[in-house]
Amino acid sequence: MNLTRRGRGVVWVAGFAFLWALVFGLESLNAVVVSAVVALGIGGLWIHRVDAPTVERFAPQPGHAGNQRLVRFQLRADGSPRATIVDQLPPGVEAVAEDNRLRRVLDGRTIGYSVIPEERGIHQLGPLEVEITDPFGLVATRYELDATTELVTYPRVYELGGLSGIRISDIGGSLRERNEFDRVREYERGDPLRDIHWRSTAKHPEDLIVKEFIARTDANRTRILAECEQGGADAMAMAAASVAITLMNDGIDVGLTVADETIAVESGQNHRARILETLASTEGGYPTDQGTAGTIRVHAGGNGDVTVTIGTNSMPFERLRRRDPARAGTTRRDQSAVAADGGWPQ
Amino acid sequence: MSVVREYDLVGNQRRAVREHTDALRWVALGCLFVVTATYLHILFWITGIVGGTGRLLAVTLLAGAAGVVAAHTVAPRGAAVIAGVGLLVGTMWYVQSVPEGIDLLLGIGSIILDWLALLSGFTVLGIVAADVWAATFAPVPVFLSWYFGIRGEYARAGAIGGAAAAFFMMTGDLGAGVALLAVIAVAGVVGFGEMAQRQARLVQAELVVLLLAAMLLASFMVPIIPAHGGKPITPGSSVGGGSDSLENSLLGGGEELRVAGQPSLDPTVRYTVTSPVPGRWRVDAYDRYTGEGWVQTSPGQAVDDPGPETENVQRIQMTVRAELDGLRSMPTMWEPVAVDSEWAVSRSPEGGLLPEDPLSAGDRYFVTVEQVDTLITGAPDVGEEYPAAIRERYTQLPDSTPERVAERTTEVISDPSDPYQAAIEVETYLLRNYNYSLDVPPPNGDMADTMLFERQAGYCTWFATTMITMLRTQDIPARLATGYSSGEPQAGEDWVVRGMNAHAWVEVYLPEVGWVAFDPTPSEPYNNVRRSVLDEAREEGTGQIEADPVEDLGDWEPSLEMPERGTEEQLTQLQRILRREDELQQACGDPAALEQDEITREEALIVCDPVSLEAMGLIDEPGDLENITLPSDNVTLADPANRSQTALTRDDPLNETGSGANDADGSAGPLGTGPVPPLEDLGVILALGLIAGIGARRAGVFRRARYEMAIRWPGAGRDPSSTIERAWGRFERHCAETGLERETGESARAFVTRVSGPEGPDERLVRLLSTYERSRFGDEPISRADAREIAKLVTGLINDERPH
Repeated sequence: MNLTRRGRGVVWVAGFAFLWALVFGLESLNAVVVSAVVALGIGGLWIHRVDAPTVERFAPQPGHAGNQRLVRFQLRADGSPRATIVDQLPPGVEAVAEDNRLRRVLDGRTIGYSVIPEERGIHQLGPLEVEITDPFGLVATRYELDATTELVTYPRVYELGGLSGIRISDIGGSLRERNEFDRVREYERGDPLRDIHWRSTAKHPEDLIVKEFIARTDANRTRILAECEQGGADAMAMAAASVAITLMNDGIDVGLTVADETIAVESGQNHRARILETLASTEGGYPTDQGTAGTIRVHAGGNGDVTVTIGTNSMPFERLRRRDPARAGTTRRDQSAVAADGGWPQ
Repeated sequence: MSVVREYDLVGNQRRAVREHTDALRWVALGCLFVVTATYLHILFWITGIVGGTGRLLAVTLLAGAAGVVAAHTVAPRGAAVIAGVGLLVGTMWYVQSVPEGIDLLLGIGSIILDWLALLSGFTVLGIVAADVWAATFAPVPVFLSWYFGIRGEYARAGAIGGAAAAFFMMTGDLGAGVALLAVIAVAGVVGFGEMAQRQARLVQAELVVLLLAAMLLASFMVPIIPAHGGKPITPGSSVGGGSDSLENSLLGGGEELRVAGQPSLDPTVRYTVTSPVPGRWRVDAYDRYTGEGWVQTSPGQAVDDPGPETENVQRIQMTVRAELDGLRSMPTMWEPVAVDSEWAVSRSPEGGLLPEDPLSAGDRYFVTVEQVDTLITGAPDVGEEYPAAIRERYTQLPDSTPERVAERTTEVISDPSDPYQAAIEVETYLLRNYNYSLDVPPPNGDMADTMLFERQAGYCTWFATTMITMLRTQDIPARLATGYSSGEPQAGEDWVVRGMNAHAWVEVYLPEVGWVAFDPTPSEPYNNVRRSVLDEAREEGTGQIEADPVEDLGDWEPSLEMPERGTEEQLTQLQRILRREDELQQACGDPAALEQDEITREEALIVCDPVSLEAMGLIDEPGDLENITLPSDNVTLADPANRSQTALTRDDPLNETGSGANDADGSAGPLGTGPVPPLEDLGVILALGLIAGIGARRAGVFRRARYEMAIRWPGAGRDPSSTIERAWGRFERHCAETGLERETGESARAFVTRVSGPEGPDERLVRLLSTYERSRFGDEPISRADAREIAKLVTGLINDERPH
């Protein structure tokens, strides 16, 4: 239990008022002195009796670096005292509000605030520092609540307009034309939303109907091998994630090989999350398994320059990021919006 | 602006939270309004006295509106700039409206001293150009506190409003009661506002209410600051005598003259004056009239007094010896033109002499005085134009001055354009028609009005104040002079001046002449009272009431060169009159003596009292003899024992516990005067009620009471079936309370069976159950009478099982 800055200010004011009133006989200052003593005294007593709050934390949804994320927890203490809460944030994770101090009452309701992680990674949030104060904020007691949670942050991804110019067939697969329409079938978990056939769905209101394209063959499967020199891990993860997401959005099943982990070629939301999570946490390096033909190789140098090699074609990642000529009609605003929120549904 | 983030809430929950936070926010802003009102009411009180209310209102409203608008549009840095510019403009405005304002700016040291004096309990009424000052003071705190209040930065809003209120607490203008209100309101701004910021529900702010109530109660009950603990930093204050003495009221307050009730007279010696003529030993004067007292506007800024320009001036030399240690004033006859003393002397704005350090017993000083000689040469040759500064400063009256004072004055005086004649007429009117009495309570409302129309009696302060008010209603500049009457004559030219000789009279400004003294206080009862006090003191032999004779001055020569403006002839004529005073007084009242040249008209005017003058035909108006002659036993001097008793009943009852909460502002504070205990009692009751209420709520008393009420006094339903529903509901609640809760899915019948135990349900339960089932599931409607019977039956059931 200690005095806050405001509490110390009140002590000074009361002391000054007391002396001043004593010397010059100003009785109206009595109210200042007595009220300050009462506020400090009762506030102190009350704070003295307050028990440590109980806490429950919720894991935040995973998301991409640079995207705003909601962090939530519940705090409860007897008497619903007012408190200032500071969630300890690791470097690179910034609270959206100007400061990271949440002013609330601890009555057990859900408390939420937003953060923006600047870098990929598995960031640890917490512990929570809770400063409970009396009703006027004069006396405070601090608790550090050992409640931590992980903020899974995927690498930033960019729309790779340049990728559609490359013939996947060059590397054994092919970029499929989206209108090679085979049949419709019921929606299954993991199907891209863009494949929903709205006209058919309208006729069968109880089901979502998706378009089935020509059979998935080896031509629609590929593996990304990501490697980097010391210090290039972030650039590598960013490039690999962008390539993987672009391909998966085009309906191509993607596998991933990084230094210490290999993920089989599959499809679906969970698979997508696994790939992103792996890229969120990998520390980079050279995989022992160097893969086969038909592997897209993402290589990052120590200075962050990334080269993407597809078959025999190598090009800097920067060139792949250029706008897709086929989508020249989309507005600039659409593009930036896509870039800002990572571009893909999670 | 603090942004309330609510995305963790949804739908109804969010709406409910917003309703609560809005309510708390309004309570906080309400508290801010109260804080603002506490310091604004002082400013409006000032403009009520010195004028400028409309201007103050305009700038205040403008500043408040600007604060609210800026809160939505301007960042704090911008607001600080606006406030800074406002402060600068205000200061410039004030400086240019003050005479010698630029000098004021240059004299940093004197500014600091002035502010220190203000903050040590010197009323802001004493500020020069107080009307402009009020209008420049108000905008900055109003703007800033509302700017921050609307933005939701409640701590800052409260601090700024509180600082403005604290300023007036330190000047002593904000009475203890209002000060407490301000403190509670500041705490409310912070407490409620920050609860709103924290999205608290209304109920969660109850601890704030509890604390506020505790603060209110404790401030009433616990006086940490002792009453009358000290004195403001003011030069020239402090004389001997008790705090209730007339002398202390007139001469002890420095720049502020507070009118005491039932003042006492102190017979101990202060000075011995050696003067060839008797006179009034003037200490200082007051220019600003508050309606209930007097204030000398800020030290160091005297209005230029051109000084007497008339030829009719005589020069008098006098010496004064202090008979007591610690005297802070140097009485002289008006108007001192040269002083010779062994210590540094400064002059107050109204011409009083102020020693650098308090005098010690035996200290002597020599004064050369020039006196306008109105009596010897007849009415002075009065010019027509007043200097603007004089007119502005010495014709001020509070807005609250009742109209009938002016009306009465126009009846009394014949020609307002002749100030000398008017002053004599008012003086005579008061001398004849009003009684001298020390037994008057402190003023409550305008002193002149009270004296003229209600009490018809008073002592010197009341007479002088009334005369000045009357003259000022006719725009004749006048001020209140304070000091001592001439005292007890001794051998030679010595006069012993005692504390009880403290006196107040009137100085009227005559164009091209200067300040001329008038004294509307009836001198005979005044002297009688003093004589009896002195006799009594001599009998008792207490205190130092006699002075040693002043040793011969020898061949003392004034060391200062002085302009020779008076004529030797006039001086000797006056001295001659005064030496013959006893002789002349015998001639008073005898018209024949006047005819036989035993006494001249001028001599009679000096030495005779008004009654005699009238008898001699020197005053035209036939007088009311009873009113003028006051036998000394008619003059009521409060008995000390009586006085202390009346003082107790008059004072705040809390004084007995020592708080003295309203004592200081009693006579000068704007919220007034005299007894205000009902307000404070109300505060205590309110605080106790709040504490009890919240305590009871916390202990669940209300919930319990509501429950008891509902069980014992069930309201009848709209129709028989709802009456029966209610009765059944009460029965269920009653069972639940005894530990038998109806389970979900349990039928009414099964419940009754379970409740009634192995013996089976008794008659009443069966009746209740069957009626309930019939009402719920049956086709036949149940009669109103039956339903009422069931309700009674349940009440009986419940009461039977309760201990009585």
